[in-house]
Amino acid sequence: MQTPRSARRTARAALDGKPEAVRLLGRFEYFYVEEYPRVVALAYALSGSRAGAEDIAQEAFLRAYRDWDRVGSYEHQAAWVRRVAANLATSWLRRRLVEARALTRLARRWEPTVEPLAGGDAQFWMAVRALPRRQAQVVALYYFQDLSVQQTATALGCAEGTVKAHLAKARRTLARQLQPEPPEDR
Amino acid sequence: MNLDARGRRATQAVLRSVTRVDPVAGLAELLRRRRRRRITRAATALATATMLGLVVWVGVRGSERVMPVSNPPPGALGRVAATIPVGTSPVDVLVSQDAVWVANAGQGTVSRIDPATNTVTQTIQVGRNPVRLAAGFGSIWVANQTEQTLSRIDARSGQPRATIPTPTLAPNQLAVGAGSVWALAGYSLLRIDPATNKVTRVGADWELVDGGLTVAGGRVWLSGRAYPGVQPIVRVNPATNRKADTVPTDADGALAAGGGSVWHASSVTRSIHRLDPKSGRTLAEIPVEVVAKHLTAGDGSLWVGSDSGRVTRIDMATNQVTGTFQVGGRAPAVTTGLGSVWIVDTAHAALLRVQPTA
Repeated sequence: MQTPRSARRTARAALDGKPEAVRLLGRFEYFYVEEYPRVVALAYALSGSRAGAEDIAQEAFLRAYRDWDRVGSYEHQAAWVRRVAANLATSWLRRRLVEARALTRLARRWEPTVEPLAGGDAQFWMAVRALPRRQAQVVALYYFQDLSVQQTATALGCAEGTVKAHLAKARRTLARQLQPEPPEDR
Repeated sequence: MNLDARGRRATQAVLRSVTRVDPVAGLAELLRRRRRRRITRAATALATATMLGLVVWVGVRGSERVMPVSNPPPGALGRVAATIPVGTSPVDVLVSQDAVWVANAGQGTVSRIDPATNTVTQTIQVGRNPVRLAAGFGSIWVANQTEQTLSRIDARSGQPRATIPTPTLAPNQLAVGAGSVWALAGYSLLRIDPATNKVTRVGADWELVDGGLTVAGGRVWLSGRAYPGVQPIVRVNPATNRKADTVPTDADGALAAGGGSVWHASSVTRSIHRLDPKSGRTLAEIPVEVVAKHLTAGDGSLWVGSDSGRVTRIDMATNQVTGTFQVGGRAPAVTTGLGSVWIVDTAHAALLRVQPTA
């Protein structure tokens, strides 16, 4: 994987000479290169689709780009994109579209760049995806924001109390559903 | 292993799973999709225009008569009595305390206009990107979207009285009622106590954007869209600061209260819905043939500012469109008071004072 700095350089080079890309250069480009992999990861966690995760992330960034005059002025641009990605990833209709597109790509022997999860980690996210939509978003963002209720609330544009309430319900469900893992071999 | 430890580990695992993801390749794909979308839009517009043309042609041939125009021609609303230059990018207007106030989003100011002379008498510095104005409790309230603050201006002296932060949230709608000032910021509804300027965030288990906010029938009404489309109106009980109920609707835009009704704009059907303030039931649907962005109730009429720059007047007694007026720019804010209609001309950074026809 490229470092953010080298990716930025490559992005500039790749976009050189493309008139429609010129306007992308600047703050959006930096923001995009820094945040893209993380948003793909969030989309994968919440949608469960390796093939569709990039699709969802691109859609979220496309919306940010389209509205960059407004979104670019926000203090929490990353939070905005994560919220859009979380909404897209947990939307039933969106999932169907993503799956259809992914099937078309797979038919062309296209290989997703997202690696599959295994074992307990896959089981954890599967249980999260089975939660009600809002709870799943709260749990995913909570762990992606390093267990910060305040940042999760900012990302979702809701009160911290709402996040705590969703988190408490989700924790109860997850505790019931997730089997204790066998101790690791040493 | 406890749940948090397991969640952390699963998060690290999912972050490791994207190490092969290449942002540059993603960027190229994003550009391709943007181009494709533009082409799809153009094709859709062409197909729609062809279909419409066909429908009109069949209609004219079939009935041997021209379809009636439901809107009066532009200009039928009244004549311009004065054009008053204001600040850069004016976006909202209101009449209060014998003065007219205009929010200038481009320069972070509010203009105060003396209606006796039709001139700006004060330019008040507020926060970045002021997008909405509301009047109440002896003050003019300003939502500064980019700065994430509300400005409070003394309506009598025009002096700023307070700058109220709305932490991490960008306010874009304002309403006054039930003893408070209300602001919509992100998905959150904020309640501001006018006595202390204290902000309380009201529970937000809804997802609504680009909609409206008003207070009517003892409830705070919120409307808007969320992925994948129109959402029901949410009504909040100000006594409990909690969601009271929802009202099913196929409208998604601005809200206004007046004439014993709530008015709700629909970008989907390009119409205005008239709702019962208690039950939320739709009493009438009035086609306006434009995407309404601003609604204001006053002088027995509803005034509609639209994306195309057209201002439409709806008579509340008959639910009929009785006048239209065309300005430059998009989404002109409109209000009434002091015997005139006040329309923001966004394209020319001006406020138009219009003398309405009877």
